[in-house]
Amino acid sequence: MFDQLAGNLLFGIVLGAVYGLATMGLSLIFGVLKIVNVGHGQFIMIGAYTAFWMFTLYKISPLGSLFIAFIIGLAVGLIIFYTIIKRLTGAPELTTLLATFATGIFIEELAKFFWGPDYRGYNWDLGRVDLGFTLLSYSKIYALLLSIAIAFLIYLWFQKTKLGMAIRAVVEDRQGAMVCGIDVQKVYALSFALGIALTVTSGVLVTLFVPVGINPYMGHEYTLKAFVIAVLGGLFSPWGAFYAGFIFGLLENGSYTVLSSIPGVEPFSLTRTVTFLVLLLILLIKPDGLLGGKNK
Amino acid sequence: MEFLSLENVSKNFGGLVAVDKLNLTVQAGESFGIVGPNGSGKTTLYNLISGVYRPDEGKIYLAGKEITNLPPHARARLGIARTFQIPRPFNSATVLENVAVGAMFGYAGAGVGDAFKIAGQYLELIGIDHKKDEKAMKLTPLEKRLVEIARALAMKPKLLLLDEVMAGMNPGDIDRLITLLKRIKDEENISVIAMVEHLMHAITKFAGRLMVMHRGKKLMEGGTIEVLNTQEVIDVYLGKKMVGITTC
Amino acid sequence: MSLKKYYEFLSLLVFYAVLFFLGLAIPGMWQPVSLIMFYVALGQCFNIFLGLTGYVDFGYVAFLAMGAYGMAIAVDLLHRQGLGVFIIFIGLVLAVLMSTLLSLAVGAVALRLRGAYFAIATIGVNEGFRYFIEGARLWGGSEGIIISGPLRQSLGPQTVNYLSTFVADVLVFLIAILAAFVTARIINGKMGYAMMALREDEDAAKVIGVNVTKYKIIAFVISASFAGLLGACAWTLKMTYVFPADVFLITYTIEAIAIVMLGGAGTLLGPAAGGLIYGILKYYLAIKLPGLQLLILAPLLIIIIVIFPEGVVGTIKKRGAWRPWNS
Repeated sequence: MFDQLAGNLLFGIVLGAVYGLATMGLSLIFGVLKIVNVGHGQFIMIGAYTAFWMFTLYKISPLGSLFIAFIIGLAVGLIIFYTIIKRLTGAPELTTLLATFATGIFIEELAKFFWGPDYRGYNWDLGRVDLGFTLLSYSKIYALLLSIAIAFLIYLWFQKTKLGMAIRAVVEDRQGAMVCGIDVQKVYALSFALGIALTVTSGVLVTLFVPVGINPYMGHEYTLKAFVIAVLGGLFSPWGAFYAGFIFGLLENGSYTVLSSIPGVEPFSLTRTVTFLVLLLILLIKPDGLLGGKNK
Repeated sequence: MEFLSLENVSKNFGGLVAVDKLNLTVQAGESFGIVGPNGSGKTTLYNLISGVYRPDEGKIYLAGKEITNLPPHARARLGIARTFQIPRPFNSATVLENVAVGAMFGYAGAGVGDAFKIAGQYLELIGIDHKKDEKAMKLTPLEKRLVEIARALAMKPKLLLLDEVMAGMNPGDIDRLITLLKRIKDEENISVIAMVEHLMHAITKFAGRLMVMHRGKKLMEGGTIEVLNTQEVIDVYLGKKMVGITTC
Repeated sequence: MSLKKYYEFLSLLVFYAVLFFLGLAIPGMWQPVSLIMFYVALGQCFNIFLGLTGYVDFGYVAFLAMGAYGMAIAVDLLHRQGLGVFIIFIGLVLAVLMSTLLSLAVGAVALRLRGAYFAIATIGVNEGFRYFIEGARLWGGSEGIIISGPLRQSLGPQTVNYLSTFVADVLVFLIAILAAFVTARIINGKMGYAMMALREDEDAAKVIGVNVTKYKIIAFVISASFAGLLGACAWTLKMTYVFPADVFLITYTIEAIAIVMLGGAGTLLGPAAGGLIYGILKYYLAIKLPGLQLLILAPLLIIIIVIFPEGVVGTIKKRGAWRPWNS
């Protein structure tokens, strides 16, 4: 049992990296545009399908798919921004919430329409490494390393490039940024697109963990998880989200292990309930202030 | 009798200290003024008294009862009413409805029918009843402020907190409003009316006693004329000596 | 008493009556009519919370699911007690009880939260509860509960047939009427003004003396209780089974939002109009383009949202059309 626990926890860390990367986009969009992208999971789904089709049709490995997914994500993000988001500036937050919600549903219905509702999968088997207490496949190690690498690259980009700094300026003080000559609208568009791109890219890495679980509706489960992670790590901060991803991965796998040992329950389903309860707990403990203004 | 009292009340926002260990006591029957430069904490003070914020430390008492942790609606029921610096009427409701809502849920706690009658009366008193069926969003900022005052009065408060209500008014209107407020205070038995103002003309006419705030602290407190003629206050706030002030 | 508000309610009754008779009089019309009425009822129930408070509960379908389970559990447990038709009433009571309890639990947490945090909290309710039922193997777990057998044992096959093809739908009519009535009663009274205030400006409302949390909870719970009734009648009684995968579908929440927004949230007649349009649309789509409803509905919803950028939800907040005429 201890071996199993250790193995699961390691798995949790590895998966957590991908979760963290997946959530960074959400936090970025929220931090810059103050929009909660309720359709978040569906973009992960797009990334997953990208990896699947690239591998199945063109024999491109997930590594290559990462770049493709990123570009797709940027494109999709820009389209959505200019057709929908931009028209909703100044609208009450619930409106944009509904819009992202409907957008997500639209995307998954499109996926179902074009690709059918069946579960897909592919196999990128590079062998495993034997760590004594558990076996860890190389593909998952890649996922871990790539997640960290991408997160780090993004961090550097924010720190060092002009655009990155412009985004940070807008987050700090929108009007101040405008006065400095920063085109805030472009920053919004770019941030949104970048957020979506990050999310789609993480979808590719997700497939390394759910090799046969790709289907149009897979996004929902990730949306909920992403929210928990984002709220854990601080809704505004992509870095916080990344770290929180690890915590969440540990939590989730820990709970799965514990629940597995209880007879008569299905650990997979119940873990999702636990996820939700954790979300409620965090929302309760954190002041409801961040969006509505501090009340206490 | 002590009506409103704040003991060592502080409020911080992140690193900013908006109100700093403030002690204040206002007696029943007073017309009390609060002045100070922008950012000195006056509106935060109102938010603390009306319950929009909870203090980080200290206690607040209303007529001897501690209200420090009461939610805003409970304080309204106890008799606190306030206006906002930037008026916040219910935009899609009519003027009459706006004021009636005050009468329904404030200290008055009137039923729907009575509330509308009360609302009508106050609108007439304030002089805005010709607009009673207009939607609040169509009013000018000044008219919105009058609606807020009427709404606060319709609550039949015991403690009325006015926040820069005179801004943009001409001297004639100011005088009229002050006279009205004094009359209502007596007739309706409002224990304390507090007024945050920048217009010295209004404050000197209205307030018997005054508190000057500066950087979240109480700089000085005392009789209006005395305080306004104090060198420190002049330096920090007024900028020059007030010559020839008369009070009513 | 406000004449105008009851005038609207009466015209709504007329509308329902017309639909009812159309359904009975024209052969083959009962099916589309009952589908329309389901959506009208869904809209009326959902509108109680959305229209009054301006908040959107993304997990609403969970309350319908609770009601569906309530009815199923009652039948499942009591069908051998020889209670006859009374078992249906018990089922309804249990349905309301369960959905109300869930709403109290969820509301206690979620209603302390503002705006997007509230939405995030409610999104998870659906999933969380469904997976709880499946994971803990509660109430049949992922296999659900089938009551056609027990019902037939208890009431006889003819009654059951009558129940699921006619009576269930009539009950849906009644629910729509009741929900509309409750809505009208609320807006007519002091509570209606409290809701208006909290919709317009929560902080200003608090300072005026409105106990915002209390009213939010009231609207939330009432809306949830009605959802329970609806789930029990329109799903369990009609289908004679409950599967968690079916009753927790987020689709219904989306449809509820779309209906209320389409017809005009915050109005008494709005949900009826929205339900009518959507019911007709869905029926037509189901015949011509089955399986594509959401594909068409989602972008439709987006277009509705974008064309009323101040939010159709913002439009409630700015033009909440409920206004009793008192002067």
